[in-house]
Amino acid sequence: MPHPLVDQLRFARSEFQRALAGITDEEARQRFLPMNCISWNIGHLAWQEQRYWLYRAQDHVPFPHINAQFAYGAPASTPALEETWEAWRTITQAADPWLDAVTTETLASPVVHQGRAIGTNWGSLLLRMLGHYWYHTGENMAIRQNLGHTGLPDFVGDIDTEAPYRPE
Amino acid sequence: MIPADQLAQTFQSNHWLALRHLEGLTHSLSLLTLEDHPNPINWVLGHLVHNRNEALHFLGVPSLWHAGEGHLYKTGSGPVDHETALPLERLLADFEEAQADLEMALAQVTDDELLIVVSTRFGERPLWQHLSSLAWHETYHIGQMELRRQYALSGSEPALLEAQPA
Repeated sequence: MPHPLVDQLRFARSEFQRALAGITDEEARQRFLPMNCISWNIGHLAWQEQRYWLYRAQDHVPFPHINAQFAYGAPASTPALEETWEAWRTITQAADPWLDAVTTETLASPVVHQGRAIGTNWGSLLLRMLGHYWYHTGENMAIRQNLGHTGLPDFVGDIDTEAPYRPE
Repeated sequence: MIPADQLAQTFQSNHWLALRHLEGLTHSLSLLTLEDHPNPINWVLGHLVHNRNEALHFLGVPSLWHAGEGHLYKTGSGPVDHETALPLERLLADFEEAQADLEMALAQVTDDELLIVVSTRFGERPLWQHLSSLAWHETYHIGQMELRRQYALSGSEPALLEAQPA
């Protein structure tokens, strides 16, 4: 069974997806300057997932172009919605076996990449990613409001059903 | 369980990020409302303080606000305006006080206390999970601040850049 904090990450991922249900390619690629558009934000989360769980954890970068296009501070762009969702889905699925094997000891252990400690532990990276998902879910919802979308869902959703407490 | 020091880290990061989005805003600017967003950034900040009041309540710390003040900024409350909103300076001061109180309370709470099941408006949960939900709820709303900040500072609806066909 995955670590409970991994359940929380999967819940944050599913809430990120829920916030974008029904959005069209055209809507996802509209920018309210100077902010990025929704499809860029999806690519940005794909970048972080790849950076943490594939590159730092397994020294593997299946999508180098995701780093170039969507890293923190990368130039703005308006990519196709399905292109970034596909990258996000592929990267998160590739990360899942590693995340499924995470234990309390893993989370407390320092992140060492290519022989060098990077000054944090895996649990902190997981918490950082959780916050990042919630932040961009809020930002995406604000963009949807600005696009005139109504009847949008509330957040945080049904954590008690989807990612309830269970002991480690 | 998410331990107290990591909960504190999330609240601290939220605090830092929210202040970045509020930098340079005046009370009047904080009340500018985007066409499709009924709640201005003043409401979002008040909602964060309201959220922190709830976290503090569950940690046994007296509330910063009386019920009337909280009512203006609770989930589902109507938009605030020049007549009803609390001054931005007051909200910022309360946000600072709540941050200090949270840091102190989270430094003192024990792991056993975080595992106690508490009764919340969402049902029964261990304390740590409720605090964690409140923290992520804050992060979500801070994500909403960015667009409001751009609008408040520019004084006009953010320009829409239509994407070119792929």
